[in-house]
Amino acid sequence: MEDFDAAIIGAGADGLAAAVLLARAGLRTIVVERDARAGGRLETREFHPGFRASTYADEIAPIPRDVFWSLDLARRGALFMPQRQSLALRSDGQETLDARSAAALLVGDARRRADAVLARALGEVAKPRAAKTALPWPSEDWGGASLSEIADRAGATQRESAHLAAAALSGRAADPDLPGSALHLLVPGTGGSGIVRGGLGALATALEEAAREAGATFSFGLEVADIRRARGRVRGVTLADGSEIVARAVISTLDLKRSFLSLFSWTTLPPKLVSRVNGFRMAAGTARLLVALDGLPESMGVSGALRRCGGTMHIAPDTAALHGAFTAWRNGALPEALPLTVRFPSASDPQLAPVGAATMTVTLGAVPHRLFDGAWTHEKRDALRDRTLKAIEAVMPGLGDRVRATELLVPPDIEEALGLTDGDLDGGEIAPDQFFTTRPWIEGSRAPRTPIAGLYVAGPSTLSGLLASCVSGVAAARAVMADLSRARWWLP
Amino acid sequence: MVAPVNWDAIVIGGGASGLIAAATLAKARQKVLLLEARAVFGGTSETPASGETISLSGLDPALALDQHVIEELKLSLRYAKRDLPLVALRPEGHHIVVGRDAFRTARNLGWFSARDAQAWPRFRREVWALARAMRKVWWPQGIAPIAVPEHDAIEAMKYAGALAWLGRWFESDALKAALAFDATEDGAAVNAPPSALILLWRLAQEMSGLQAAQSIIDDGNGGLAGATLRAALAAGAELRNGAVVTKILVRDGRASGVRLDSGETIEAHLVLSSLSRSVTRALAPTGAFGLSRSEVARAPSIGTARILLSFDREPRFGDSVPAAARFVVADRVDSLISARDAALAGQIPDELVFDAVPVTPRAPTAQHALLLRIRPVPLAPSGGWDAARAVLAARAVSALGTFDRSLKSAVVALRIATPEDLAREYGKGSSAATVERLLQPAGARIATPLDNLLLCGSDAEPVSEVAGRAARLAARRAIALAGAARKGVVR
Amino acid sequence: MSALRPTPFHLRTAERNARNAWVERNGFTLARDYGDAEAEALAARFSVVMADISWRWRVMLEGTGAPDAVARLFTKDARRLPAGSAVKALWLNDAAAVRGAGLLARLGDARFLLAAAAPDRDWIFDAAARFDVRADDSISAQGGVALIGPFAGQVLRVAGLDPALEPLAFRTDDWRGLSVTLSRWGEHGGYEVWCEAEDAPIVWDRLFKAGAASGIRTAGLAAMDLLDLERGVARPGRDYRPASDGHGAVPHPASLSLERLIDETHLDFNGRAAWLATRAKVGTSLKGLVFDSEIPAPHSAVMKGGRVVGRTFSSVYSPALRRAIALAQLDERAHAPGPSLFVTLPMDAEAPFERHANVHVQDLPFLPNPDPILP
Repeated sequence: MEDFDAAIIGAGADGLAAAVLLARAGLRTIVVERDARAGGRLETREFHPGFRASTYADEIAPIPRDVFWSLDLARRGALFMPQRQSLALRSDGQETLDARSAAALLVGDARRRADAVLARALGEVAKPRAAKTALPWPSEDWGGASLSEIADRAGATQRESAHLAAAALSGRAADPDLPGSALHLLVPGTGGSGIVRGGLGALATALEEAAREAGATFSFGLEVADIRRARGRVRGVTLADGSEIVARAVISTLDLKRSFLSLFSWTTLPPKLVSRVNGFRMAAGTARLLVALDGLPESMGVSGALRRCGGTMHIAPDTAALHGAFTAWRNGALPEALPLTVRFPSASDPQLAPVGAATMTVTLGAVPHRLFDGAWTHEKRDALRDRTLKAIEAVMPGLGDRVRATELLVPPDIEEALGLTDGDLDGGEIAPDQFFTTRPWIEGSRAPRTPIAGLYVAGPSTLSGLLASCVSGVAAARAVMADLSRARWWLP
Repeated sequence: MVAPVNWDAIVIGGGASGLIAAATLAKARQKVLLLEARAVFGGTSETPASGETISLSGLDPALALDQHVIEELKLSLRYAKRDLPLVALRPEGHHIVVGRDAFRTARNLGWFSARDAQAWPRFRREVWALARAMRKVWWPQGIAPIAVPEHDAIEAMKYAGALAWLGRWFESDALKAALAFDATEDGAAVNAPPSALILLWRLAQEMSGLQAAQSIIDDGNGGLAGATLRAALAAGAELRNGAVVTKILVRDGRASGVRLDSGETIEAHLVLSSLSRSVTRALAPTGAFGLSRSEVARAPSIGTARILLSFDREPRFGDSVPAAARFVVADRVDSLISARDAALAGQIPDELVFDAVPVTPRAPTAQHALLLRIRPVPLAPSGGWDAARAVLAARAVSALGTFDRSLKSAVVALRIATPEDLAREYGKGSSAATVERLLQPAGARIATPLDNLLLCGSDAEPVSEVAGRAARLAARRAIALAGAARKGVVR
Repeated sequence: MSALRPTPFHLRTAERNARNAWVERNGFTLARDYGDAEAEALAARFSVVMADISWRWRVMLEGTGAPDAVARLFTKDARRLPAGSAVKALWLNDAAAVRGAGLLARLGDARFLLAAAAPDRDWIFDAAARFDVRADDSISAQGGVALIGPFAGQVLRVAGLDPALEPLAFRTDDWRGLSVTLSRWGEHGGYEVWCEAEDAPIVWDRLFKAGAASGIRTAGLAAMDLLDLERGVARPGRDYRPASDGHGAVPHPASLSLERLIDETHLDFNGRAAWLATRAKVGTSLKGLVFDSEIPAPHSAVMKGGRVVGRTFSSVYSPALRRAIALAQLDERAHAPGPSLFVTLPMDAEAPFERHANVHVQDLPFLPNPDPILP
């Protein structure tokens, strides 16, 4: 039995950031990760000899600059290249979003709102528990409006609005016409942090280095089976092999459902908490296709696209197609027109592919966790892969001949690999009622604190975890430090 | 030809709302002129003239009429049916009956889910109290802004879809589908905001003295249209039919009158419009309502179709089903969503979602009649309404037929009013449901960028129903403005 | 005042300079950026960039007296340099003030090449004349491109040039009919390719084609200056004003932390005596500052408490570090314990009021060069 001040479940971006802060503050910190390496979704995978790509996403939510500075990530090898430009590819042409267009300004506005929301949420953290939470939302009309409506109000044209929707809903299953979809602009699927040199795995390495340098301990390979409580307070965690870790505070970076329903027996939790967590909806829609190419075809499609923006390309022609995709997803089927986001990360970061070859990543949206006619079999995966490549070939002729190898991940794979309920990379459906009331928290306490004394949540299910990376971990660490310094009791 | 400015107010639109506004103004001794485009007054609340065999009488039977309006104007209304229970017809044979008695309802719900049966009394108590708390906002006495009650639950509802919100209380799909039907007004989606608020609005209304009651006004003596018409005439309002307004005139930044299709110009100090906001904007000069895009209130592309079915016998849906009830046919929660998707795509939904209320039969040989409100249907289906009409009728009859086998053969008459018909006949249009529209103060709902142009129709209500509330408030605001003008107060 | 001259690569750079962003340096007109200076600077760390460096001043020093001239002028002894290698050095005036900094390459027994960021014709030519050495800077008409990035060597290999070259070395190759000089004189771990003016477009095209597979892009002067700053390299003319006469004592090499470019065992360089006499007395040094801000503050005062303890030179926003950085000349007082350092950020339309940003001293370089990647 080892004795620590704080235990962090999950060594993802948030868990590692929390570890750095707590360890720097002098607390004995341990990070428990069930995988063999740190990083979670921050992984660069060599999916074919010589070909590497960030497995689950090319970008993550942006890391605020002061967190970036204080973790000294740049000098630890995490170099970010922002992907500001995006391209919409159609069979009848391609277009970028003009930096001065209404839609581009809207993106900037959305980012500012997201930052304001973050700042308010973070500001509340260090305060002690309050009976009433004041919801920190800057404007209600964004919460209830649809994405198309907001774009329309801002003066965007039809095409710009479609482009905006494709960019914001990349990798998700959502309908841009449904009220409440404007929230996706605050947490867009693309245009976040930018790509990292060497893939997201390099960021994981930098964060782990920072945590170790600060003095945190790591435990790899064992899953947390149980959280023990004594006298109503968290006392420690039990690992899968039965070993126990004593800790006065536990930060869980698992998603909401796993944090509560798998780490506790539900009969021991307050019923209101259980019903809230049960009612929290997940909306897994992301699939990833990693493709090793023999080279980039010279066709106008690819080289033109790369020359014009060098970054993100969306193949999702219009809002009607996105609406159709959402309807199909709801019914457990795959849509006619797959919403795709294509990148060639090796074009900006040549070490991801051998010389002369190229790596392509495709993020598919509106892919159901379970199809209406059963689970994801090999045939269905192959069928999806072929459909995707065909759709890309339609706008980039010549690509199909150059495919050397592929790897497809569908929501169940993501669920299994990352331990995310349903394989939802966003940690829950992005809907106004979930956004404003269930994340971060209600019931009178303020996230990252939970109704269980000594347990804190960080990670994708929390609001700050969705809006930015590493921040929810920082918030949880600050809460832990504030509470432990105020504690009047001492564990034996 | 320019008439001298001798009118205090012009009211555009002679439906129930317009008549209420005109009556209120006339009672305050304002010189009011009401202009109606059709030959008959009453709008969609009209009742057939005597001798007419069949018409779409009382197209809006389930009203949310303001009690104050009834009292102040001394409207003589009789109710044909009071407090209809909600009956959700189920293919399983056991129908959901939601009545005023919470415990009987709970027993009925027990067949579907024990948990729901347990939750119902608490739901009834708490949510209805919440709805009453919201009356401050939805039943304002004046137009001064009133803060939305500080209530976590209401904050949560602002951003919740009706389904998600109901899902926190109930688990059975059948019950959620039945209750969520009322949340689909004005093109709202049940899985997105503001449908939860629309449900709450419905529960906050009062009819015949009972909260959330669904009552049918007896249309003998003219029904609502007749009552409001008599009130307007008695108060001394001047009514003109056959007058089509083509333009609202603006001078010096203020509305100065209207122009008719005949070319006649009528001037007044104030103009009230019971038409929808978008139609009113179209009548005003270009740019009078502002140039920014956000002024554009989006109209939904889906609407309600109404079918009047007359039978030669009483429909029998089941032994335990009360004869007089509001029947809702919504098979599953998913039916509500997929019906909306189909309607948005311009198709008549395969699985229709509708409610049906008993009305007075008028056709010869008809013993009973049901008025169906099918929602949503596309405003303009692909292929046009001519073809879609028949499809809609057939599906509606067959849907009812699943609950009463031989009902189809009992149909003696069928009349459809498609959204297109209503738009053409009555100029009826509406704005989409938004959180803003539901929560903004009454003053904002009736106001337009022009000081003395006010909206008084159902479009100025939080949910597009004939309530008379906006009409009454707009009229009172107009009276206040007129009084201030007389005293020479500079606004 | 003569008109600005285009560099030999102007044809190619103009094609890519879509926004028509030109700046002047050393009398040449150069592209400031090719759309996004920050992205270009980042690309130099991710893949490889190509930059037109024809603006660098080059002088040939030839003659029997060349070794002596060179020994006298420069703070490092080039007489012992083998042909094909180079050394970095300063040249000082009589009072040991810095007149210039550059790279001295030995081409032959009596032939040297000086490459510098800023010209100093008067001093060099005057000294050369005294030693009976022919100084000729017409070689500045030759073109030069720099290839910077972890894939720079890869690009050369694909293009047909052998990247095996020691740092500071150079050699002349016959490259499929063109005579080019390949060198490693830059501070960023990259290569430079020097060629005749008329061959410039061909060199550009060949390198660009070879770099396509490695994601090559062009970098303008802004990106190059940014890389210099991230590396901690201060250049005369751009960052500080070198001495313009023979007697002035500023700037002192120690105040610019350039001591490493002075070899005290070299007994002949001009200003040696003054250097030895004054080197211990100089109180300022060049340091790197990182800001707690994204807004840079060039040529501003650095303050501690209420007192000025230094001045910033160039200051830019570094996209890799996501914060503003600066090179600054700081007194010893700046390093004493006490309140933290801060600078006043420049006012602009968006913020017409005084703002401060805290700054911290950081060892140079701010960011190390990325390692080369050669399969």
